[in-house]
Amino acid sequence: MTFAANDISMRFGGFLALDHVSIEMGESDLVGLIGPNGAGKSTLFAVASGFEAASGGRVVFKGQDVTALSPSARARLGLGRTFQVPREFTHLSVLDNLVVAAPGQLGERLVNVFLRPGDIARQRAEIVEKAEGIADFLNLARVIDQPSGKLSGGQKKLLELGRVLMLDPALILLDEPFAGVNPVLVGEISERIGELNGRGVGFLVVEHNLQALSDLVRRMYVMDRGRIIAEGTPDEVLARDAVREAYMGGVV
Amino acid sequence: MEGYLLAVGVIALIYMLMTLGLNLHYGFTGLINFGHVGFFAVGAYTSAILAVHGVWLPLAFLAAVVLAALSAWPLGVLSLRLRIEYLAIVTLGFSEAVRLFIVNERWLTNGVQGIPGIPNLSEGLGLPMSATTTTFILLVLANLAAILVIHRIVKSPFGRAIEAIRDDEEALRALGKDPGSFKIRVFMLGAAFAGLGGAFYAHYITFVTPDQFLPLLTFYIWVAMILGGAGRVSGAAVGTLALVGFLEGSRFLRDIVPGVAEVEMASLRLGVVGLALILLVIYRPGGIMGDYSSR
Repeated sequence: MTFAANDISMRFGGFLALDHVSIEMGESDLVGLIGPNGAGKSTLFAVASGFEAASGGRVVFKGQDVTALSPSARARLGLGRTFQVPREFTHLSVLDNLVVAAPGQLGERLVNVFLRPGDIARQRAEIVEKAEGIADFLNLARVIDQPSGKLSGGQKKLLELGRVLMLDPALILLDEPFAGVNPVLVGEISERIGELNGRGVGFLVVEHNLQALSDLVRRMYVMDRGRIIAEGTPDEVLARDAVREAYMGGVV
Repeated sequence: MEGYLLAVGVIALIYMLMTLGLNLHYGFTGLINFGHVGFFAVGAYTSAILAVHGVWLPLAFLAAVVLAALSAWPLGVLSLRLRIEYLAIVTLGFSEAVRLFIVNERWLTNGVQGIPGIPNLSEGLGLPMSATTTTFILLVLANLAAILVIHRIVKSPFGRAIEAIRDDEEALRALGKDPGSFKIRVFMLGAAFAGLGGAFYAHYITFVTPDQFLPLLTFYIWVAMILGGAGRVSGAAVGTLALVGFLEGSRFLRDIVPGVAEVEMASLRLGVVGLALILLVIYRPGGIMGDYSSR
């Protein structure tokens, strides 16, 4: 088991945003998480990535209890995330957005900046090579020198994914990778996720585009009002009455 | 006239050290520091007090730089927990606290009477040139060194990380970096440059009193940075020269504008600076050199 959220609760005042939620993921798993707006998906992501501290429960990653760890510490362990609204470093180029994410950079220490310029330059060459490889893979090579703020919405989504890939993560929490993305690019992003998964990267994907998501993932969790109400293969899950009712207001 | 230009040059170069420091805080990292004059004061008083007690000037300067940097450490720590608007208030409070400390701790600072008789750089270092010339030459060298150091830093992985903090701190956290450690170091680094400027100031004027360290100076430095273009090393340098050019150049308005009394002139000068700023904001919002968003 790579990742587990055990019995997570989250209380905002009198409101229970997460009500004893548990999720488990195996190694290089590819799992979806769906549910209507306000179901608690984003809160669960925030708890899983360390941006919010849960009122109860534990988060376990690669056999280690990470409940008390900061978002940056979790990322360093290989638990990456993207954001629903892309948060690129607007004024940095696409290349620099990728390069800045590389872990363990000597040149982040000021002493090294002045005393070990040769080592930093050598490390930079390696990092740039890796970044260019990722940009190629995500079809961002053409825009690699552009300021990231000028990219299209879909390209920003790809860049966010690319930035996380710089960490060589074991698991990526993807927050709505298809939102606001044109259908052609949805297919492309899907394909890349599938390919990365084939190389061993796990994904937990929150998404409202049910068609694209069910084509992508092997398993799905469905949330409603802070609880997990269903779990299973996409076909199983989407066939259930409770899911249809919660998700689509029983219309479909 | 030559002496006057040299004196103006000295002040411009002292301001430039401060602007280079503030530019690291705000231009590159997005930290709003409204208390820059506090670091300047710490530097000025540290070097002044040590020098009048006979400490060798290079050591006094070093102490000024180190102490100014250390005084920024608590603010750096606070900046981890404060939203940006609150950091602005806290830093403003810091610089006023420094000034009130100077006013009240008479045993150390001689209070409002100030510290007279601070050795100037040519007598302190035993150089044969005039004090102003010595100070000017050393300031040129100090600014060149500062620009080289800052250029090196902002082009390094450290520099990229602080620019990422300016754009989106949370996103950087999600990528495994700890913005806090960068912010603390940037605060101390920028303060060190202001402290160095302070030391030069004390040994140039040779007399320091608390009312030389009012918040107005902080805002002059902000104006210089915005005039030149925040987030660019060249912007800090050019902006400072432009600001001092406006402040000093407007003195000569008196010769051109008829029927204005001496007192009215002072207000008119600030009015000219204000007008220049307004025009700049309208026609060149990124500053003379363009700010970080136009790179």
